[in-house]
Order: sequence, then C-alpha cells, then structure tokens
Amino acid sequence: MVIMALKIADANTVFGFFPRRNVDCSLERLISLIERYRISKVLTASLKAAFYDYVEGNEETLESCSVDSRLIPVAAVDPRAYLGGLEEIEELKKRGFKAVRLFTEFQSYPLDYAPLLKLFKNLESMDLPLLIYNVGYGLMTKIARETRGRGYPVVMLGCSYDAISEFIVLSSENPHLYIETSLLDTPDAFELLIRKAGSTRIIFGSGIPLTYFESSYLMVKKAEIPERDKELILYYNLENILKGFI
Amino acid sequence: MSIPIIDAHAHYGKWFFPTYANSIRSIKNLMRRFNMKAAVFSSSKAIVYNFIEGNRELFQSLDPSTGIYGYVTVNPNYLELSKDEIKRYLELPEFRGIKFHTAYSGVPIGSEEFKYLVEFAEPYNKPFLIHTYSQKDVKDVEDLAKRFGNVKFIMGHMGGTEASGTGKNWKLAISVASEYSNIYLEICMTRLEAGKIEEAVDKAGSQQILYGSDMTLLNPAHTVGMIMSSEINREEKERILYFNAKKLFGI
Repeated sequence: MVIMALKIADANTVFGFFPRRNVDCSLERLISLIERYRISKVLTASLKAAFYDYVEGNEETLESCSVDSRLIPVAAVDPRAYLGGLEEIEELKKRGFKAVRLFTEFQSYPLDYAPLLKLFKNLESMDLPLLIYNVGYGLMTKIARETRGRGYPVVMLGCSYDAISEFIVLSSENPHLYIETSLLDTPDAFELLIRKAGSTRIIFGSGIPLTYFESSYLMVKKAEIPERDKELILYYNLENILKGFI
Repeated sequence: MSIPIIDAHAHYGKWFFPTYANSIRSIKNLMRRFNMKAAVFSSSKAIVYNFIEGNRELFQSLDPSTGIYGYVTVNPNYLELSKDEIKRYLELPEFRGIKFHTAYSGVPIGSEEFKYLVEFAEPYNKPFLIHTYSQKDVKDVEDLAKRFGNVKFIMGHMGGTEASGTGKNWKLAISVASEYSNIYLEICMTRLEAGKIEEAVDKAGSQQILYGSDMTLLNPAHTVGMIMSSEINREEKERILYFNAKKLFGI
C-alpha cells in the first residue's frame, strides 16, 4: 500500500447499494477506504439517488454525512424526475448540501432536455458546484455552453484520454470548468493539462468504492509535476471551489 | 514500488489523442519510474494504420538489453503479407509474440482469416495478444483456445468493460480463463472496476493473470495502482506483475 504523504480531498465517491454487480459500496466500506488511505475529505452521494429515488437518496446522504465530518454531502438531482422547481434547489442548499451531482453515467437523458436546462438555470444563484460525469465526445462542449456565465463551477468527472483535448480547448473560455482525475490515464495527462489549462483546474477524484483508490492516487503522485501542483490537485482546488470544507 | 514489473501490453508510436510520451526516451523514463524490467510493445501505427510500416519501425526500436521487446502485429485483411511479417520477425529474439486488434482491422477474432494466421504461427510457439472488448471477443478466444490447445492466448483488457458497470465482459473472461490453461488475462483498461482482480485471482488463479499498462496510450500508474489496491497477497501480486510474464515470454 502506498503511504499517503499528501493531504487528500476526493471529489468523486459514492455509497449505498450497487445493483449492477456484486461490489461492496456500503457506507462502512467507504469509511474503511477513507481510513486506509488517510483521506481528509470526500464529496459523496448516495447510489439510491442514482438508481432509485433522488429525494430519498439525498436524505440518506445527509444522514450519513452528519455522523462523520470527513463526508461532505452532495445532492443528486435526477432530471427524469425533477419538475424544475427553484425552491427545491434552494432547499438543498439550505439543508447543507455542498454540491449537486448528475449521475449521467447511470441515467440516460439528452443534454437538450428541459428539466436539465431548468436545473442549470436554477443553480445560478445557489453557488453550489455542479458535478457531471462525462459520457462521450461533445457532452462537455454542450455543458460548458449551457453553464457559461451562470456563476457556479462545473466539475467534469470521469474524463479519460478521449476528453483531454475537449477540456483544454474549452478551459480558456470557460473558467468555471474543472476536470476530475479518476480516469485521466494518459502517461502525461497531468503535465499537459497543467501546461495548457493550469493546475488550479484539476480536481482529484477516485470513484471509490466502485474503483481502486490507488489507480487514481498514483497517477497524481507519480506525475512529473511540482509538489505544489500535486497539493492543489489532491486537496486545495476542491477546497477552493467549495469555499472551504466547513 | 519494490516489486519489479514486466509489462505484457505496451505500445510504441503515436495516438490520435493528446499524449506525447511516445518516444523511446519517454518509454524508458516510464519504465524506470515504475520499476519495469521489461515490456513487450506493439506498434500503434501497425494496429491503427499500416502494419508493415509499423512493425518495421518497432523492430528498429527494440532493444532486449534494456528490456524492450516486441509483438509482431498482423492484419487478417492481408493474409499473405501477414504471413510474411510473421516469417520476417517472429524468429528474432526481439519479438516475443503476435498482436491482433480486431476493432481497428474490422476482422472478428473468430474469422476464418484469423484462424488461418493462428495456424500458420503455431509452430513459432509464441503467444498471441488479442484485444478483447466484448463478450463475443471473449467467446471467440475461447473457441481458439479449444481448437489450438498448444497456442497461448492473452486476452488484452481481459474482455474489457462497458459503460453500464456490470463487469459482464471481464466476468466472462475470468470464467473462460478458468477453463483453459492456455488463456491468460491481461488487466489494463480505463475503467478499473473494484473487485475485478480479486475475482480473477479467486476463479482463474494468479498464475494466469498478466500485468499490462497499455502505455503509451495509458499511464502505468493506473494499473499499478489497481494491483497495489487489490486485496490479494504479495505473492499473487508478484506473479501478476512479474513472474507470469517472465515465464510466458521467456524473458
């Protein structure tokens, strides 16, 4: 096991029950991984919100995060069930959620979809980061277009080698756009992104407990980049867009 | 990392993505950083474009003294030329196997053309690394393993994954490998789903699993991290990362 010398905040974790294969995603498993790898903070959302009912899932998230200060609650919104109410989003912020997540990796809907467009608009005054899983060429381009100038950060999760050029091109005109690291798996992804977009735009995420933590961590740890950039990526950039972890 | 590594799935050449760590110098740097004692490379140009040019360029870059070995890539759309490539390279000590990528060539693994090439290459006694990324690919490799019992087949990406997260491709690959001692599972892919390595070790056995990075498209850190995180013992990790490939490739 790698000894974690750097402070870590993980933007991409989940907990609950995973219906598609037999894998332990329980809250206890997530916490055991947090302890094993000495992760300081994790943004987390309930898989119930992804697969069943986002309102019930969000309740579960709040309850779970209330007993462990390392867990930062992320509200999921399922556009297939969302009726577009502004007050619903306001309530999420009031109740203590620190970010909003779309589970595009598990839910199928197009981007040009009224409930989703309404959500993008309703988030304007909330100052909550939006986390979206990147699925396929062009999604990030559309997301950037729809969220530009609305005042909240957007973190693209699950970006692999096929998303790097899209992010680099978008990054200069979309300062609200960030890229998460779990699948940034080309040998020089971090070196290139820092050169082209800057280290402040890269946010660490692992995808645990659905994935192996050290796959994500080692890519940052072994990157040939300054230690200060590793610190930003692993912890401080997330802290910055959340305006602190408290 | 203290465990040495032999990489059974590496590439030499460029990709149509923004990754530039593709020179021999960059490759040696990656090998040093991850304690890789050897790696077996196929040419990206040979896979995605012209296999003859690609194999030639790869051959010029191979250097067993620094652990850089090769696969000769075949393209079953060009049967006679593929046979020529096998004859030209496969007896050389630099080349340790044959690479076939079904997706870029558009030729199914189960095609008569590919079987013809397997039959032709059988006397060379070197393993095939075959890109597998579907259940059909896995079943096709199973058929090959059944028909060519003396040929060793490496399932690149161990069947692969799909967006839904079910793991059904790699689960089938594990199940098939558990039935055939001439099938090896190679572990690299972008989505590294938790539990995959543990299940492979449990059902197929650690002696049939090979470490692969997919460099220079992918970062060795991604798959090394997966092995490090996996809940298997050190001896099993050592087999996967080093000893199985050492034996299979005779390195």
